[in-house]
Order: sequence, then C-alpha cells, then structure tokens
Amino acid sequence: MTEPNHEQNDPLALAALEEELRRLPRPEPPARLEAALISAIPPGVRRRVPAGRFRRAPLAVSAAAAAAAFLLVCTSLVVIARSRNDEAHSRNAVVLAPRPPAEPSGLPRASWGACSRARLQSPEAFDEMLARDAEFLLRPESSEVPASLNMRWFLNRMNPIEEEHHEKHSLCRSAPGALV
Amino acid sequence: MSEETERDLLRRIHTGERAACEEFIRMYYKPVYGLLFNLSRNAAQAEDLTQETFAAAWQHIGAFDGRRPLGAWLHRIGYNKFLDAQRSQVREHSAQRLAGYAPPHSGSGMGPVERVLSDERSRQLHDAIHRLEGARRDLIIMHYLQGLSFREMSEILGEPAGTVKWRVSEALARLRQETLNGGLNHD
Repeated sequence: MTEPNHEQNDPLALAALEEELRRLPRPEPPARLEAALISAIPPGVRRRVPAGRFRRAPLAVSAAAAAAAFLLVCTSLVVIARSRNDEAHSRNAVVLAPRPPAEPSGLPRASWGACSRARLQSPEAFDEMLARDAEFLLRPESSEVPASLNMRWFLNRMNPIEEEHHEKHSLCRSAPGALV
Repeated sequence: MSEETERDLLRRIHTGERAACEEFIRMYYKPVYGLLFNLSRNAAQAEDLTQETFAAAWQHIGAFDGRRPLGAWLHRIGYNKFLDAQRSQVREHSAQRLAGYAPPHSGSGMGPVERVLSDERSRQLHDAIHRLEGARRDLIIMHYLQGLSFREMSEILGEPAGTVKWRVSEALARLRQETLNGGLNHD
C-alpha cells in the first residue's frame, strides 16, 4: 500500500473531487419496484419483545406474583400431607382385624385367642369353665385337670416366686375381654 | 427526516398500521436501491436485493427499538445483503473457473451504469471508484453518492464516527490517486 503523496492531498483538488462525486446522477429504480414492495408487506407487522429479553414488571405486580406463588406452594404442601395421612389411615384400617362385637352386658368379649384356647363358644360355657377351674384349684386331688385350664399357669402356680405374677394373669381369665 | 418523525413512523408501524408501512417503503426504497445499484453496478441485482432488504426488515422491525436511526438500520440490512450476495458470487465464479466454464459476456451494448451515467466523465469517475479496494469503494459510495452522514455510516459499519470520517478522507485521497492514474484531472 502506498501512502498518498502531496499531489493527492491537495485540498482544492480533493474538494473538487468531492463536489463531482456528490453531483453524480442517482440511479432511479424501476417503477414496478415500489408496487412490488408494497404488495409484499406482510400482514400483522407489530411490535414484539425480542427473544431473550423480558420487560421488567412493576414492583406491585412482582410482589403479588411472589405472594401468590408462596400461597400456592403452602397449599400444595398441606394437600400432600393430608393425602398421605389419609392414605396411612386407610392402610391401617385394612391391616387391623375388625374388633369383636360387644357382649350384651356391655363388656367386650375375650380375645379370639383366649376363646379358641378355652374352646369357649358362649358366655355360659365361659362361666362353666371358670367353675371347673375353681373346683380343681380348691380340690386338685379329687378332680381331674380341666381341659380349659391354662397348664402353664397351673405349673407356675407351683413355683412360689412367680406366684404373685401369675395371680395377676389369672385375673385376666376372670375378666372377660382381657387378653390371656 | 427528523428523529421525532422517525419515532412516530416506527410507532405506527408497530401498531400494525398498513399506511405507515407503505410510507416507510416510499421513504426509503429509493436510497436503498441507489446504494445497492452503486455497489453492485447491476440493476437487476439491485432490484432483487432491495426486495430482500425490505423482506428482512419486515421480519425484524417488530423487535427494532428505535434507538438507532431507522434509515441507517435499513441501509445496514441492505449493505449486509450486498456483502452476502458478493460472497456467493465469488464462490460461484470460483466453481465455474474450476469447471472450465466461461460466463457469457454482457455484450458491448449500453449497460445499466452507462444508462445512468450519461456523460463520459461520470462513467470514468464511477469506474475509478470501483477500482478501489472494496472497503474504500463502499465508504465513498455511502458518503458521497448516497449522502449518508458519518453518524449513519458508523451505525451501518459498526465503527465509531471518528474512525469512519478518517477512513473516508483516506479513501478520497486514494480515489484522487486513481483518477490521476486514469487521466482524470480535477485541478
């Protein structure tokens, strides 16, 4: 690249050249171009926010939006907790066996396990069992061991150390509804 | 066109007013065509590129915020369209040369430049402009032939106005040398 010499930088010559350049005729576009451009205007030219740029919302709108979002989150958490609680309740309800119906006296029946072991089918049979047990305990040498008697309790009764403990358990047998 | 008028026109375009869109075309299609013709020296290409320029403008005018002059923004789109077309022409010519294909001559009849520039001196001056290196040629065309200000040119070229001014004066000196070499004298 060569540097412009003095002749090139002559101010008068440059001014004349500038003037001549400005006077060069302007090209005129064909007449059809304007019509073509106007017919090509697309419908719905409108203002739009450029992608990736968001208008800042007013402070009041932002605060309201934040409060609404907070409430929504809290409500969701409460709903989830309640649904989980209900679910647990229903699961327990399925797992637990139905409670036996109450006796006419208002006392609950003895547990199913106790009834099975004593082969009790009715309150009358239960009373008979208690009577047999009492007779045997009062006169063990004169009567045979009743089938309904809890043998472990009987044997433990022979052991004076655990006597008091098993006395408590014996009360369970006499109290309808208590587990044996 | 004042900034106030430009802002008002842009606001009307953004509201979807068709009359404002037509006004926008009538206001700018001649300068845009002139720029593209002077750069390409090809009337058909200038016409096509003008249409492409406005098509691109409609695509992006919705997002144009009006912080820059509307005319400069449109000229920038047009100038970029010209540069793209020039690059694809270079690629095509290279491919044709490799294939051994010689493009047909445009003929010896009056071309579009000859029709616009009726006198011999104007034609010689135009030829001298096009003998300049690309960037200098573009600066001379924008500033002297299109009448764009240094500020508008800085928007189009993405350079500071002071830099543009210095480069224009440098390009003018080069053109002066070119005219001297070509036998044109301005003394």
